[in-house]
Amino acid sequence: MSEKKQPMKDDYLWDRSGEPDPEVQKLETALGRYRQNQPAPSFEKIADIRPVKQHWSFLSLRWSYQLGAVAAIILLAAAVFLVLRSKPTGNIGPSWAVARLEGTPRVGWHSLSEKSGPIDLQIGQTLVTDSSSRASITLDETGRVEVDAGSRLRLVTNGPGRKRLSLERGTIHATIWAPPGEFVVDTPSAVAVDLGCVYTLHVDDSGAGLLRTTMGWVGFKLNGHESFIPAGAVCKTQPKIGPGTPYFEDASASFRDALSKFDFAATTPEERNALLGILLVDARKNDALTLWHLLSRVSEADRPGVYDRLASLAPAPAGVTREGILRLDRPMLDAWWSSFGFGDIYLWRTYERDWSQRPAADR
Amino acid sequence: MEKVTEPVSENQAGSRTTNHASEQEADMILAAVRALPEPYREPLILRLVEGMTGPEIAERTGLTHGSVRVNLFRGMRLLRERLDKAAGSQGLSAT
Repeated sequence: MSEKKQPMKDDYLWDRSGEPDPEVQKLETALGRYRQNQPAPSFEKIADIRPVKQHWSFLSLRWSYQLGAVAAIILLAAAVFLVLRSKPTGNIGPSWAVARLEGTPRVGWHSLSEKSGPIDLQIGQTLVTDSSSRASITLDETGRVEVDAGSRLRLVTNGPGRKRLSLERGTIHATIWAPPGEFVVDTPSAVAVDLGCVYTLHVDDSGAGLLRTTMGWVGFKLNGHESFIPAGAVCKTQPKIGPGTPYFEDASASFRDALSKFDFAATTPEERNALLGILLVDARKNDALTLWHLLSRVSEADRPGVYDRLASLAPAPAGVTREGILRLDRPMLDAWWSSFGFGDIYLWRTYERDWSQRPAADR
Repeated sequence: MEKVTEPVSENQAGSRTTNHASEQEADMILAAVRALPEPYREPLILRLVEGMTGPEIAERTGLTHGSVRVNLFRGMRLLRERLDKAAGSQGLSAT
């Protein structure tokens, strides 16, 4: 009996044989635009560029030595001048290109009109959009940020492996493909650290902010307060307080309201206790995200109640004990988080740096 | 003489909007691929961005055909999950 090769369901993904997979084809079409279209330089062409043979007379050789010596002295003097004069700016990476999307956004003194091409955003410069303008900034190796109307966005640092923007007011939509932890955005009340994602960040005139993650997850931190925001979740932040507790937007209205008051409005232990009661009763399985954060934000007396409710919604994995969580054992907290499926916290621990310290020039 | 700018037709405006949307979508997909775990990221970029086939990827990376095939398959499955999840939360508009 002859064996007939059965087509496998991933044949198209493997070598384009078999029945085309429409999803793979769609991705190929979408991502094909990033293909490196530049052909590799041909060796024959490079080899053809040979130095022109020179015939030097004795006189011209002597002149060339003298000219060479003068040029070397000039170059040396210029180099010394530049070294003594230069200040470290942090602007050592490629530039962020600002392009107009609508209206007349401004970068420093430059206004971008419909006819303007993209211009570079330099360290310390601010991109300003008025009520009728929008812009995008792109850095090939890092990502793309769309800036909505009524925003002020400043470039703080742009070193290799360290890109930092400051959103003073307004809204940005960031799509980041840089490795996790390289791209951060300061707001007046928290620092958003990208962990491979797509997100929207809004800051109002009071400096309060809201971060909404569409894909991947984002770390939001300030002065030791950390919040991890996975896809579909949001997190508020307030000046002088820092990031609040993240939550999924489809949580019940009473849950969201109680959480907002718990984070930013409650002033007495009694008030916090009453609000915590609402949170524990209203929490659904998905709200494990919020309860996990609350473990380290409630008093020692309230922690067992949070543990018990969280354990009933998302049982702790092997190796994570009640005692360990009540004493806020970090490896156990991390292991529990990673069991939720929102993203491995190892990413954060690996890529986290001391981003909450603002750079000296920015203080 | 001053240049007169032609008014943008509805079709042109529509096509710009469409281009912008597909550009945004492509950026988002690329971000999702770049955020995949290391073993899946490179083969999927070579396959979907550079247009290489599995055997070509194996030759280039020095991995066996079996490893590349498994990584492509698992990476694609994870990518689908993440894109589906993102599509589910796309309805969330900016504040």
